[in-house]
Amino acid sequence: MINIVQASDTMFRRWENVETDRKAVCLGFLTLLIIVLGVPVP
Amino acid sequence: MKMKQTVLPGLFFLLVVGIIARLIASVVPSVNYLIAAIVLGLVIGNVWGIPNWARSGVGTHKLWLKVGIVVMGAGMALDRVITAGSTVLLLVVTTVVMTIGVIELLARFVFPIHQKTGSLLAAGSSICGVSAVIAIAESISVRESRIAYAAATVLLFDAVTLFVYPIIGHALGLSDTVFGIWAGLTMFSTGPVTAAGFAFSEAAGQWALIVKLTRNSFIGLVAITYSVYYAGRVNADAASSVYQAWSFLWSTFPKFILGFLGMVLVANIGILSDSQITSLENMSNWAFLIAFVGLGLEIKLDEFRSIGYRPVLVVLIGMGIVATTMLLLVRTLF
Repeated sequence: MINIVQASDTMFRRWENVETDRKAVCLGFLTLLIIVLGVPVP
Repeated sequence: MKMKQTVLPGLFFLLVVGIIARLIASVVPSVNYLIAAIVLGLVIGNVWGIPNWARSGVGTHKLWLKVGIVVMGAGMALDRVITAGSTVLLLVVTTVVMTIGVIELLARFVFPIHQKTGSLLAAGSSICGVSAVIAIAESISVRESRIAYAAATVLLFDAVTLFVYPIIGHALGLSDTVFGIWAGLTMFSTGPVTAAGFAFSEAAGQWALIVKLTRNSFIGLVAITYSVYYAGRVNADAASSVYQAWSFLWSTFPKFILGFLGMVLVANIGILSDSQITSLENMSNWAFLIAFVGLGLEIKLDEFRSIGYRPVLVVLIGMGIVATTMLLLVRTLF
């Protein structure tokens, strides 16, 4: 069985090692996706 | 769940201070909320310091600045970027070459300082502040203390120009376009340029951002030029082969600019409605708000005391010459 806590911990650790510029592009386009799906930012 | 434990309290802290700054700006007339966010952060950081539990969250402020810039791409009109493209590119090249030339001359012949410190100051002033200082330092191998010295000088000018530029802009009655291009061409780091631009007006902020990002993309080219120049004296490394040169150019290129360009393209092919673009701009403004609180919190006034008068004079006179020339040029062209 997948340990969710351990899996998310590994995911966060990987994310922490990603270069800031690439993180910014990921988060920017994630925002775009959320808004296109119809959830406007307040 | 390490990230939740470490980053979230600091992010919440940035958000709370940001909202207070926004409230202050809505009460005090003619105070822009972005400038209020930086000032409030600066006061908290220097009077009480950053609380330990908030430190790692506050450290993410550069990420939020870049996220804000990427998302801001959605509000940018592509025709504006294309129409102004060639003129802006020419102005950027002129500014970069002129700034490096003037600062190098001043640092060598008028107020003699160590040659490599002069080069770091020239790079920081001409491209993108501290990140340029660090990129150039890596390519020409400089002592740690010289990097700190040059970075502190650049940060001092960032802190001052952030407030002085909008004041000059209003005093001279500059148009949004002229102010935005001028700030984007001649101020140093991306954060203060964005804050000063948007503090002046929305349109000025967009112009400042376009020009500044164009300037930032020259970082690799300038680093390679410096490494080739110093290679004869020290050792040939970064530019010793074409492949290495390209990989160095790519590794120093600020990749969030590609995200910004991608967002400009997505928004301009017409798949987004007006309300979606407004939502993206709101999101960008929130990201800028917390980024600028963090920027203010990390300005350490104590560190400026260690800077000598010569580097300050070199940058002050250099910037005075370049900023005046470029202002005259931009006013004539736009």
